Amino acid sequence: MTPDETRHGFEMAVLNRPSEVDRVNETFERFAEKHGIPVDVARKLGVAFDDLLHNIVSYAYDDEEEHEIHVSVELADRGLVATIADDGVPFDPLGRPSPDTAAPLTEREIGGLGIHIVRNVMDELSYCRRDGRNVLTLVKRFD
Amino acid sequence: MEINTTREGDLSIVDLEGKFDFASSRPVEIRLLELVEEGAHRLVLNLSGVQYIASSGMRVLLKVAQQVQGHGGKLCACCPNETVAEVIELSGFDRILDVFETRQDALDAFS
Repeated sequence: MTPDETRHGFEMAVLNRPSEVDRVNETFERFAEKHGIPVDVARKLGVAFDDLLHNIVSYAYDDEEEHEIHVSVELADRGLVATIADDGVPFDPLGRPSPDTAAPLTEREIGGLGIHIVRNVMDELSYCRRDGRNVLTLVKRFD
Repeated sequence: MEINTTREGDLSIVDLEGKFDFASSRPVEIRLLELVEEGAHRLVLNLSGVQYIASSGMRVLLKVAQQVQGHGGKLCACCPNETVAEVIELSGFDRILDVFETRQDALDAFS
């Protein structure tokens, strides 16, 4: 499944395997370089893809079947809009409580940290369940 | 991710280079915990070559910091780029390990 590139973005489908996450990030990095996306913005999208896609691969499916995860990235007016859609069990990651980031070292737990990071490095993050899919939309603006 | 370790006296300095993401977190964790087991309890992680860090990388930092502290040691980091520094800070990890702008500042923290 090769990425479908347009002048202003790309769409691709990947399978629910950890190695496929790297393919998304490699495709995005080529796109970011080609379009002169600021390095800091590209890195933050990289963090978001890594955390969100691995979360889907690890937890979204209660069977052993292959599933397609659809990823799109679009250049918008002074920003990037990315969507990630999976047909896994309904799950709104934004409904998770934020971790206690002030807890001392011995009491720190790591659960929920990924979505906390993504929420904070993106400008907008929204979730909806549409046509049997979890759809996450990420917005990152730049000058 | 590339992991290179050097010793300066009783300090161990680990240079990391690449993306500290899901794929690299396990090998980095194994190597760092090996170092701690081998007696490296005064550790500096040089993050200058790290492009970004995801939550799986933060989990490794937490585990290593806990192990080092359990041995009465200290873990510091230095030279994060803007994105890495921001992720460390918004995760509250700047309360868990000291992060320095330069390698020398990190080394001085142990003197």
